[in-house]
Amino acid sequence: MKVIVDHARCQGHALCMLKAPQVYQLNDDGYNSMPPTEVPPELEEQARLGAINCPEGAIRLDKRAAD
Amino acid sequence: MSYQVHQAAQRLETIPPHVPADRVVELDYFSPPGVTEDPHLAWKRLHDGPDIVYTPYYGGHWIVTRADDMFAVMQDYETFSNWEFTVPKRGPGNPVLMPNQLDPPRHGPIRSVVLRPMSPKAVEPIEPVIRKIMADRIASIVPKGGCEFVSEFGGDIPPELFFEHARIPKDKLPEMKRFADAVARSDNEEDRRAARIGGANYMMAILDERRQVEELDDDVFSVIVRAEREGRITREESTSIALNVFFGGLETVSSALAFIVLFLARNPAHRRQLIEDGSLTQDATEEFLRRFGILNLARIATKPTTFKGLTIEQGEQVLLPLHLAGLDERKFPNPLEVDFHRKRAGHFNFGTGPHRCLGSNLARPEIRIFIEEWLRQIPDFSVDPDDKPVGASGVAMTMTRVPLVWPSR
Repeated sequence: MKVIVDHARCQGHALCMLKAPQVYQLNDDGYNSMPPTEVPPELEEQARLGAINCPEGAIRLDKRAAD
Repeated sequence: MSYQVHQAAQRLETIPPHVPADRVVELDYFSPPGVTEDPHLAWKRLHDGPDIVYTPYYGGHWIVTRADDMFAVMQDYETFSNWEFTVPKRGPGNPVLMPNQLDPPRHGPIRSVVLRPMSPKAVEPIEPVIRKIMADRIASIVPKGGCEFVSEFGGDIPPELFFEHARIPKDKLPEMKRFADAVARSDNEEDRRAARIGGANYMMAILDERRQVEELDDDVFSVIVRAEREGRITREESTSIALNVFFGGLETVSSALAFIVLFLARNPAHRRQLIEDGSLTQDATEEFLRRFGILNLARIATKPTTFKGLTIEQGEQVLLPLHLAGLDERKFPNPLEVDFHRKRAGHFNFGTGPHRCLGSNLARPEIRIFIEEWLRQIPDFSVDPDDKPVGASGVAMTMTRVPLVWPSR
């Protein structure tokens, strides 16, 4: 699975990082600017939790990558 | 832009013709019925009515009550400006708060000045300081066997922590706190204006001191002065930014602590969960933020617009009771229930869109550490059976009185 963050939508709520610190990191300004990132299977649940808690809906999970 | 300013709870005699009669409610947002018993439940009654309503108080303004609609208003900054972000309109003669009152594209470059010192990374190193201040203050009240939380504890701590984070001399604290109180709580626009001006003068004095420093540090005031030296902002903008950063985080955090401590006093089972599993406090902090939202912010329409079938005229204000977004059952099932294990807890009580609260990164650890330290030292406590908590509404929802007792040792 891949996480894809829409940087233009991120408003720095930080909820992705709080819910899934092993998947999501924020930059020095407090925004998520990570590139599309492959998530290992054991972190997929965390990644999903971080995504559904983003108030901006800025995080997309691409499952095709794992197929 | 210039708009007519309305005084205190000035009530419109006649409802404007574009407002449908079935959307009109009689609501002074400083005192919804039942607010003293429970501010959130008092507001929650609006969810029994239409999505968007209009009240004739404060010269007349709209109230958006549902999470998705508030979200849409906050995202559409071209139609709904932040220039007048509290009801009633501030009008001329007030110091401008930046970046809060600005809209894109002017907003971004100003906000970027203070992003770094307010980021999670910048706040993390001061967590031990927050913990020490919290722990010491709690330790000092433990032997008393009880306290009136707001006056004896909750009200003083957030300003003190902000001063610590911003490295401002503590002797300025009482006066600044008085200004912050008036801005958040007074329903008299004249008092609020006087407090804003007083606060701005104080900020200018603090900035002047910082301007004397040659080797600037990375705290928020130093960062502002550095941006000024680099020619990115003017002296006036420095004051506006400092004032904004300061006023943002005082009453809000104090109020959150009061609601949380009151909930914990009444719910021993929730206390037990937090005491038995220390890893829960982070999720608990988010759940408390959702359940006990604080702010009644507003926007002002920059042009006539149609929103969900209603006509909103240019210059009309739209009140966004952010605390109601977290209590919207369309977004959160059983919203009144406090459940630390909620999977979907993505609230936006810090707002959304370009103006999302920067101070949230400081507020969160303050709240989390407060919960941890309080329960460590005062695991068992309750509301004083001979006294009563008192709630209030305003720009910031709050408890003005939370009488607590615990077994003295």
